[in-house]
Amino acid sequence: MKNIREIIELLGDTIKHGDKQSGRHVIEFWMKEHPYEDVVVKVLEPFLMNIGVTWRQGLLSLAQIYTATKLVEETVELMSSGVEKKTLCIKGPIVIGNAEEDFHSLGRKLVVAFLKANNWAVRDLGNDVLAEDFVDTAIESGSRVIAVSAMMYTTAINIQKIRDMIHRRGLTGQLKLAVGGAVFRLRPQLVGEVGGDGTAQTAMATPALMETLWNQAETKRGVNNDW
Amino acid sequence: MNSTQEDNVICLACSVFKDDLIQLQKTEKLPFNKIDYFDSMLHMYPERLESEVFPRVFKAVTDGLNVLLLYGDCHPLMNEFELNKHVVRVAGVNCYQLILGMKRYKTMQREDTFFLLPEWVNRWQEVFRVHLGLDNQHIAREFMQDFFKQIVYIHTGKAIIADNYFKEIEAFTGLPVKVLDVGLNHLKRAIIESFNRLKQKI
Repeated sequence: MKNIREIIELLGDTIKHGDKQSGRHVIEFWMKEHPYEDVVVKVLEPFLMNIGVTWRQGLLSLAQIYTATKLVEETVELMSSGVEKKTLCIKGPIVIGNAEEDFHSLGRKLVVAFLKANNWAVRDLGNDVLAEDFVDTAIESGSRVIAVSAMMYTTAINIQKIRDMIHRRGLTGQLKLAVGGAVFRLRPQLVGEVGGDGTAQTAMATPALMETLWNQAETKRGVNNDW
Repeated sequence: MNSTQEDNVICLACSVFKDDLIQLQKTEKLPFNKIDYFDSMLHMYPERLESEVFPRVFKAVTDGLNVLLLYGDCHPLMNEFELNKHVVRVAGVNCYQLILGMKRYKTMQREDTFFLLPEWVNRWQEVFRVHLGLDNQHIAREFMQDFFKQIVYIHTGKAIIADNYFKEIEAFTGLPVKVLDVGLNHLKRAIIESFNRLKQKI
């Protein structure tokens, strides 16, 4: 069996060539010899860290990001089918979707895969989601965090409607709003402008952000226990 | 200077509109004589778009010109130019919406449509394989079919439809290519509306 560094390099090569099938074989082979739940921390995280570096250097194509996303999705499915299933998806749920009029779902899919890999249950509402649908779903499902993705400025500003609705329903502080997408990377001040409580620079950093926001909401809810 | 006479207005446009603007210039009276085009593939590289288009806007204003930006929301800071009284941007999310109009654009987006514009058809291999990075056909098919149900070629009138290209694109992506004949009314209206805003700003 190859060491973990070689595994990560091998996965990097498969992504570079858009060869998801070989990437999957590498991961399946590794999982045969290791506990399923270790695959996130020991394989996916370092693999995506390398991918993130390459992406920030502008050396990653859309197709390569897609291949990496699919590989993470399939690995999470594989992990979920394993013997440790009872330990999965014990947190959440996080309500996630693309902002109203936003149809760029690739980033959201990667975030969903990574949240699931980190034991978060996810309610994925898809593209072009209205503010009331986000908030209604969060209330119905007992979620404490809504995560919204937007690609462009024009669609990102629709996130303000979600912030307004959270406020109008008296849930400020008790229901947190995470925002993300390409536009926030290039225009970071937009997070505050649309009323976001936080953002993550990469999909890999999303679970930690959710943890923080969820705990903040729980604390607030503990103070105002009227939900 | 900076009056809104035609000679004092420059249109800085994405090359995706080149044929359409040439056509409009022949049939309509557009409120500008000068047009500078930028490669439409800059859309895929926001940093490059910023480094090529933004300095050109600043230079035009410094030279005493008014700028009509024929761009969608292709960069997170594109709308900031509106703060300058000598610059307006057409009101539109992207090139498809500017040509199709908001209602039709939204309907087609909700039908999971991948839009194909005339300027891209002749170089579809470059668009898909180089700029989208879909050089592996297996991944290209999976990617396209994962996110889209159809490809619609937006035929604005001038460009000749090249059937063989459509067949190649269908074979490459596994998605049907439909041709949608549209006029240039929406685009013309967006240009005139933004020019009127420019006149009010100055």
